[in-house]
Amino acid sequence: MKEFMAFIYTEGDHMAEMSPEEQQLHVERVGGYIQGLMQSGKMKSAQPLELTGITISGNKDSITDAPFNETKEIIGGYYHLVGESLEEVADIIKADPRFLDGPWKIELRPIRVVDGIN
Amino acid sequence: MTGTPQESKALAEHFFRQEYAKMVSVITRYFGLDKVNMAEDIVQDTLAEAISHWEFNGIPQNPEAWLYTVAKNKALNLLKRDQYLLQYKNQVETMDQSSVDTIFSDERIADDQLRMMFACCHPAISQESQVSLMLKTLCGLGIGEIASAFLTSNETINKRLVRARKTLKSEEVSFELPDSTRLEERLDTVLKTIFLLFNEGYSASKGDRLIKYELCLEAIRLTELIVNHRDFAEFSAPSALLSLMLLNASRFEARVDQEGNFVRMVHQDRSLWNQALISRGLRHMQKINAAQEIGLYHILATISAYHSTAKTYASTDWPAILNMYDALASFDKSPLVQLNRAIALARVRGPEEAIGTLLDLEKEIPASYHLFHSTLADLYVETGEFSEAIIRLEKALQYVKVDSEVEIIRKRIAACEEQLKS
Repeated sequence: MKEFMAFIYTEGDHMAEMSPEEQQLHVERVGGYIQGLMQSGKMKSAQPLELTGITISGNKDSITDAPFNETKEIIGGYYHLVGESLEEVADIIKADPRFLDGPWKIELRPIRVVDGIN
Repeated sequence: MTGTPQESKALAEHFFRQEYAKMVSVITRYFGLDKVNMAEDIVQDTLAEAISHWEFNGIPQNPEAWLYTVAKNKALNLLKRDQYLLQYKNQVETMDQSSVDTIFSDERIADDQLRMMFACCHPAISQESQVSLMLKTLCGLGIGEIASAFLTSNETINKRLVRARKTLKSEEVSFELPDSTRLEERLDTVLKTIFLLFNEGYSASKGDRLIKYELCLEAIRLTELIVNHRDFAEFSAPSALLSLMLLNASRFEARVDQEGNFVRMVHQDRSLWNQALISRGLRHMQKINAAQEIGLYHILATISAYHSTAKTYASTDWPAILNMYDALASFDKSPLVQLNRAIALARVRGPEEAIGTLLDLEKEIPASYHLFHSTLADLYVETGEFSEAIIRLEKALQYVKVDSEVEIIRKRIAACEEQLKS
């Protein structure tokens, strides 16, 4: 079994433009999808992220924190998933019902392991 | 990095929409009607927050309380901002000290929604803007949904909303119910706008049928708010309108066929009539039967009730319906009333007499009113005057625009021609 992180990027403001009825549909569909994956064990955790924060950078001589640089694309949440292969998990992500109600981008990255040791 | 979503409960149908509408009205009480869009922004933000939390962590045990707490905090934060603190000092104090339970108590919500209803129907706002504003703030419909119900663009609806909000501001409309001297007059306007909203949904014109049905249900819900409110207990018109809409809405499914064409009452499959709505409608009839004054809605509701309780078209109590149309015609001279009266007249005293009445009316009715010609054609078919019927159908054909209706009239012409040959 391999583990994966999926980063959910929000683009623009399309959620705010949805009507309350459409927003409810979104919550019910995506909520059901996440809960289903949790129950089947395919998902270890999933959380939304605040759109603000800080960036910490530097080296041993100087570590500074600066306001988090807001860009057009921003990570709004993550999924921590489990699967046999990238392809299998990619198919799970493609079934995320959030794609039904607007443009989304989800970046899927395997958690790095060294073969035979981890 | 582990987390299991809480046991998620399901949301009630239209939960977001209804809560949106309730919160907008309640929060507007604190900001005033000139900042109704600020209240809308707060509520929009609250829902956005609910979305991101609920989709990841499941729906909370008490979603309503969750929303109200977040909305209260957001409203307070805004009220406390420097530029508003002086202006809204009293509001900050009352809101700060009140618990979510008191701010959002059922009674308070109903009160504020009624205030909002009267504000939306302020006489200085045009009727089409009144309807759009009600759908947005009191029913929680999105601009796109309102646009598709009215077969117009988002831009048009947006313009109407902007204009309506400007008027609320420039007229300095207060967020209070009108005083007793103007209450009845203002109530008339409110009922008229609600009835218009209902008829937009009820009309057989093309458009998203689901949303159109929602318009009917919303009109019913808004009228129920009035009927159930203590300040309006003495008025019977709201109950009459409520009855009328419930009884009419019961035929929603039956009056349009699979292709979306209007099905006349005579051809409707009565098993499709919604009996639950009919019995609700009849229950409210009891209140209006005791009414002192009889108005438009009382008469229309009574007519609708005669239809709803008839087993078949033929066994309908047509003499009673004709009486009602006579009463209606005494103060409503519109061609539609005359036309419907003629249909009842034909059932009571025969199609010949109804034809005579309609021909007498012809010069008063605009030639483009195609229903006049097609009703007349029906009556000619009954008397066997098929060539007259064809003349009328061809006239109707000149004014019908919708393709499917053109098709139906062509079929009726063909059927008449068939009869002439045999």
